[in-house]
Amino acid sequence: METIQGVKLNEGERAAPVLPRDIQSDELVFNMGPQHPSTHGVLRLMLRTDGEVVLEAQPLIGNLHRCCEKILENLTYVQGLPYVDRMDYLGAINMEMGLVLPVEKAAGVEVPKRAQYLRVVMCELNRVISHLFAAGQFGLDMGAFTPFLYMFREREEGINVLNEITGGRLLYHYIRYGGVTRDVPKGWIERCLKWCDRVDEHMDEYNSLLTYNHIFLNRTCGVAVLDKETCLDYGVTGPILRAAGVPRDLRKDMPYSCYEDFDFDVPVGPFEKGVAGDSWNRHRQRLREAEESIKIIRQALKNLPEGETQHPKVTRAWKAPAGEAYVASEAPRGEISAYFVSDGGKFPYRMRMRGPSFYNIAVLETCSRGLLIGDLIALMGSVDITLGEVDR
Amino acid sequence: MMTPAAALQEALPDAVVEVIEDGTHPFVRVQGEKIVEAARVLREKCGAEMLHQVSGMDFEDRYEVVYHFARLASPAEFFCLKVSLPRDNPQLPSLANEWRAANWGERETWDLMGIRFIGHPHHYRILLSEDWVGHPLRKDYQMPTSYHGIDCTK
Repeated sequence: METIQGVKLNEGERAAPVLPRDIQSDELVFNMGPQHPSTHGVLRLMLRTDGEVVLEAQPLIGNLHRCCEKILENLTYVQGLPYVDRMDYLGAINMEMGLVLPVEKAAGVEVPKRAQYLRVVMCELNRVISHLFAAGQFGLDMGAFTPFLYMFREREEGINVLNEITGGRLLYHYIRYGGVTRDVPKGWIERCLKWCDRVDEHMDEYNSLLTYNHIFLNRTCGVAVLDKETCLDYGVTGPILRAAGVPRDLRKDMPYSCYEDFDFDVPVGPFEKGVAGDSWNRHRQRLREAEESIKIIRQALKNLPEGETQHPKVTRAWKAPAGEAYVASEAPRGEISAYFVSDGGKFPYRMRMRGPSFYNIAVLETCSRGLLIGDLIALMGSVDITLGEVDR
Repeated sequence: MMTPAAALQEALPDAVVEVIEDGTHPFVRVQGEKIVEAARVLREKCGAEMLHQVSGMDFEDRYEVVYHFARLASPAEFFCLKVSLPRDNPQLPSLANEWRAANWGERETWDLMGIRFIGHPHHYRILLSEDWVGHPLRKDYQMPTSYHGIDCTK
């Protein structure tokens, strides 16, 4: 096992250059964040460093804590829905999905097929938008400003597509218990498909600008490797786990909301460059997943069934009967799940939400040891956290 | 692959308190002091590779800690273990040395629900500040009216 200045490195991790023996260096403890541009929000990292080498990094979270679970206990079912949008504000519809699925399972609500398809379309749209944002933001962290603007161009148009149907640009409040709030407007399907074509066309552009850029490759290949065992140990899910070589995707493994009807692949790392679970593979994983999401959107819109978009019995004053359920679904950043318990009352008795970023970010403690400070930025950018969901 | 109920009844017959195998949420309730052994059985006999979620629950007569484990191999599934704890001084052994996912999950449960985990390597609050009084997710929690001289009632 390779060590650097007394810190053991994980297998495949790159050792930072060691200082010559005759130079005396001192340990320094300082804060990175909560107002640091590359911490993607209000994350505070307590760093213990020796020169440029990180000996220890401790994430200190909670700056954005609102106690979402307590809020949900004090609101009726319909009132509580917009609050989960604020958890992962970049994947808001996927958060709504995570909330409604266990409640519908516990209450035995059968959602109309058209609503299930619309949910899939919106979730995948949101996933593409979120992955474009994550990839662009990662490039920005690595010093590549231009690709960020290219990805934001398509993201902006995607937001307009979502805006047209939901009336929101970031927080949508689209999925509702027993269905969705609105049916598609006239001509929307064509506009959505046109946007899908545009993203597909520009995927090569993103890859040549950023993914296979030499500077970017040197900066991210083999940097901050998160291996399979560490991921499973820490409960890391989503693109990070798949980039580490585990073919775990809840849309395939435990299909919900008619995902079994669609034909799509689950991309699994390692890809063309680097080693499994390094920063580059995590980035590549997101762009590959965005391509697959586009495939799902096309299929769902092509086969969109006719019919209702809302279960007739689930009205504004609806409440779930006594019961409990645990359902997980695939959000852009990992597996969102909720453990829902109802006593039959007006409010949910308990709604325990799992934020995927909460578990993903805990891995920073182990994975950051022995990295250069610059590579820590690569780690954080490629793990792609949303602090709203970490702190809930 | 064995079901969690069968595996636990075979390996730890004394620790199993209650088994629910049908309905929307099957679970096995085990004794609090045997939780580490029970989790190991799930890992070895049922293929539970990941600790998915740690939840603290407050029912009027008891506290509960609910663990959800995930099997990644086909058929993918979630397993649930429940532990009932008394109202006064709820505590149970920590899983943080078995799964590092439990480290933050249990810290959050301590922070928001006030359940102690014995043997946890870093037993501090995680989301709230260290000087916070009380555990907000308890049903009898009283909202503070001020924080460090800042009025919170408006």
